[in-house]
Amino acid sequence: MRQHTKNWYKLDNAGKLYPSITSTRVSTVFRVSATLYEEVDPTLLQTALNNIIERFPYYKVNLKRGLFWYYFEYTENSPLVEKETFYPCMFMLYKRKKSFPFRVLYYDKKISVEISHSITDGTGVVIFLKSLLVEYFRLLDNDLSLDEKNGIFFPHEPIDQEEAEDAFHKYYQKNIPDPPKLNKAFHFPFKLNSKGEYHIITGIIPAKPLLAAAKEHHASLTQYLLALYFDAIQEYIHIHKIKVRHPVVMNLPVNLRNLYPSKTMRNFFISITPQIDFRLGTYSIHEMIDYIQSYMKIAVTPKNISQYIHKNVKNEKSLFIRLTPLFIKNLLMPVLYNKYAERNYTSSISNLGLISMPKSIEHLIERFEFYPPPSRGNIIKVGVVSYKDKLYISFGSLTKNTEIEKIFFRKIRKMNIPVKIETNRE
Amino acid sequence: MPYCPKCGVELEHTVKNCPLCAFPMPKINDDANQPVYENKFPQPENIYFENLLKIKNQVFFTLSILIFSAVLVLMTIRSFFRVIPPAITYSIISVISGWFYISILFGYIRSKYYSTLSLGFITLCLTYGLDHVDGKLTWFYSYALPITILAVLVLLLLLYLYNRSRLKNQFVFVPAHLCISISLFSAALECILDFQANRKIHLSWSLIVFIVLMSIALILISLYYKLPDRIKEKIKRTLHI
Repeated sequence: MRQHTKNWYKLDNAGKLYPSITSTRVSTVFRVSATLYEEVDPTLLQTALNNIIERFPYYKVNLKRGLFWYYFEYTENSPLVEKETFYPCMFMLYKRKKSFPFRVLYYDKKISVEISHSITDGTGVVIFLKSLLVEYFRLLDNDLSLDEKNGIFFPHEPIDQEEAEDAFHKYYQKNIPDPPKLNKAFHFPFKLNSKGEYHIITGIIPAKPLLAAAKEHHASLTQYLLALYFDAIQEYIHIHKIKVRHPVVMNLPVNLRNLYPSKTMRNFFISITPQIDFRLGTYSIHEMIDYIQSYMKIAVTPKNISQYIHKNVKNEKSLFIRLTPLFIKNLLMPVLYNKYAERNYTSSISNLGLISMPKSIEHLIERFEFYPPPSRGNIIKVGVVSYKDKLYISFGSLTKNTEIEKIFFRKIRKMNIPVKIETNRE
Repeated sequence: MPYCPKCGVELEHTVKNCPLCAFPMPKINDDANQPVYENKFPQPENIYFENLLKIKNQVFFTLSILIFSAVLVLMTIRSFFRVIPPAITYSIISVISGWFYISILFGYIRSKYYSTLSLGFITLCLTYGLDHVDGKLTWFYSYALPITILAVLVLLLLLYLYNRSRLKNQFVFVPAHLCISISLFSAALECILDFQANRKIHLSWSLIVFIVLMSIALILISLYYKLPDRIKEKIKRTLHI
């Protein structure tokens, strides 16, 4: 008997927004992929997906329209693996019947999971991909033994009900103040690509020297990369003599599972927004790191984060918003999202951290990569992931201009750290 | 492994230019025995145009069926009457022309110039058909033909200017050139109407439209190109408080 008790799921607090704002250029789809050492067998991958998908009933769903909100409905259909042909992270027509809010793609030696943010965040998709890979390798080699679990879900193990919970509601506190409002941020003055094009530039960097450089500044890797990114933007502004009218604001998603004891496999993150105003003068890398460290010490605390959770859930709970018909929400949400979110960020940098696999499988996977979702408001975004001894920094961009990526990676090269560049640009 | 001499980064064998600085990568070895390097990404297709065309075709097909059904219903009703009411003939002509208009507006003709010419041609056919319902032409040659030709010429001029103009800011270009086109069109329109009605040309309302819209267009264009410092200084001197 199937383990799932409900056959429909409300969208979680963060996910509720995404189906309404989805468009050609704001796909809200991100990708985590794994490159193997051998060519992918599509038949075996399909079998692995069929075996594993029942373990993730909250992903085996179709999006449906309610009168007031979208909802996910469990489906008996199974998702099919597809050969990768399009640009990465392209929009999904998952509002259509029998369409899944994710796709599993293969190309040569690469297996990719592209998933709509309406269903989960980076942590959820990493666990899903890892579980899929383990099942794929198990089918490839029956004698495969797993020495450790490493956050992997196995096909026939029981499903914890907490996995499907909306953790935002669980940790919502009622009578606390809202966080401070953001103002308009600096935006890159680059021309947009044609619709349907999304460019990726991935820098492959040995993790050790970069970690050592971060350690020199007593910073974490995320803090150091964020400082380098701020510095690259500062250099771009200086080189091109850009008149800055607004501060540079970064959107930095924080995985709340590290702050709250939640096992949810759905969205559970909050974006914090470190910002530097280059109108105040030139910042040295030390100043930027100092600022980021102090900011994160204050921002990434349960008390501060609870304000953001409060604000988001309070809006969702508002009777007026709940009673607004879905078609009106669909009309208003893109405008409100632009005004209260995208407009207030310059770019985003999201670090999924170190992905670890069981020792018996580790040598079969060359790398993991993470591509951020394209967005019209933030035309350049950064996704970071590390695997084994390497760091994979992917710039997802809706513009042909590569000035920011060039300055960023040249900065790392100037530190005498080798960088290998891969791209889907022609 | 190839390296970009400007960025210092390692690149894939398959790239022709550095993805960061576009510096051309020299082809080092033409040796046939060299291993074949495969791209990490597939040659990407654009999902947008495929989906857009699919949706567009579906909508056009549905509309075509609706229009075809409407024509069929009208033809059936028409066959019941011994003396055909002109309203039914008008409706049939309009519905059929509507289908042609929709097919052009859906972008099935790629070139914008040909689309404009086709729009003009359909309008001429429509007006000819409507005027010819009672068996004689009364207003087609005197009004419909010159006004349609005038509108098509203005549209073609607008398209030509759009393609040739250095003004690339659509928020300036579109309103400015629309103002110029409408002001020219209204002046020519009044000439036609006045000539057909009174056999003489006396401009009145179109002059007001012309002056207002031309002023708006000139203000927009001069703001875009920015005023010369000399004039700016003069305005500053004259209007300082």
